[in-house]
Amino acid sequence: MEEHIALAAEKLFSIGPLPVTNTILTTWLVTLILIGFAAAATRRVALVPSPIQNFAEFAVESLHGLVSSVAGNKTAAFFPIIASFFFFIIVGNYLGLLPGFGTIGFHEGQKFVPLFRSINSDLNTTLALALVSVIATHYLAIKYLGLGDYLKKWISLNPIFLFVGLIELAGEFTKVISLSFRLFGNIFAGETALTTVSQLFAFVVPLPFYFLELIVGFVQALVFAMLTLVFMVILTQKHEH
Amino acid sequence: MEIAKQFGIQPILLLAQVVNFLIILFILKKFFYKPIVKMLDDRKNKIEESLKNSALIEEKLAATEEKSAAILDGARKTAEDFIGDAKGEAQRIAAAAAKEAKAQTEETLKKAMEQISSEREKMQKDLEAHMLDLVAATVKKVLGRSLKEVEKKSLTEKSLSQITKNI
Repeated sequence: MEEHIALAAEKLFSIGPLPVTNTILTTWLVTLILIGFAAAATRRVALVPSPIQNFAEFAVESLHGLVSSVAGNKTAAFFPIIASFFFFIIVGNYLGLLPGFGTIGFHEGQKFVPLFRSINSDLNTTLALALVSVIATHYLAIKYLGLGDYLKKWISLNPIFLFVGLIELAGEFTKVISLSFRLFGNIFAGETALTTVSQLFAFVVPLPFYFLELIVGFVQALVFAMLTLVFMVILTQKHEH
Repeated sequence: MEIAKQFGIQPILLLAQVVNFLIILFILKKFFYKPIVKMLDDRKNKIEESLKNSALIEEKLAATEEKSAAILDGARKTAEDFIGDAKGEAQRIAAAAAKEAKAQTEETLKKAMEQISSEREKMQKDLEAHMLDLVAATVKKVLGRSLKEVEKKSLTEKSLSQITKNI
């Protein structure tokens, strides 16, 4: 039986007006895992760390170092957003590689509906992340520059700079598209590849693809976080003519 | 929006994801990054402080060692002075004692000599008197008469000088 992965996430049930798709369900699972881990790691924060605190410190310190090497004195404002993007995306990506994802489900008439689906293989998730990223970037830009300097980035009396500013403004919209589709495309393609290869021969053969997906899952999380960081740094810098 | 429909984009799903992510962001920021970063800073500060303290302690230790060496040096010098003084004193006392002993001995010797000489004189006088009596008795017996006082005296003196010469 050929499994076809739908581009859109499948709806499982509804809570009031909210249709709960399998990606929404998985998103909640990821949220629980992240918050559960955070709670476990910071239950007793001690100078001599417990193993789980040690791991959390390693993760936070590595990212913090990376962010502060780019953002400098704005690290405190940028870091929580960047780190949340990274942790949310990487946990979602890796969770989607677990057995049971895309395979456990039920049949709805002729259609197979998996119960869980990798969160970033749904454009809703990645688009939401990209929107948060870009809106947060602009919010921070206004906060650091003030509204006047922020607007000067886009609007100028000099026609050449006005034209450049308008192009850059259009670039802000393509940011949303590129951020969301890059993440969605990579993860969705990975899912499709894994499903296809598993259907060809389910033993041993998919293993290299799983390793590949482990790398992709990490790299895409890092790319999303780093691009957001770079956009933030660039946009919060004063425009100099 | 045919594309949006194909990708399953629904505003309410988008909103759900945005809200979900904001919840994650808020909770992690408040309960995860903040305490962990604070702990990292605390540990860093503590290590820096400890290193600084250890340098300070080493410095203090060196100073203490120097001080104790100086104190020891001073003590040794004082002890040496004391010993030197004591030696001088002892020599002085010994010299004084020796001198006193010598003086005493000399005095005793002198006294003894004096006594001897006075004894001798006395003995001589006794002997003289005795001899005189003896000579007088002898002469009396021999001459059968008593000598006149003047004769007695000259005789005595004559024999006395002879005896004295002989002694």
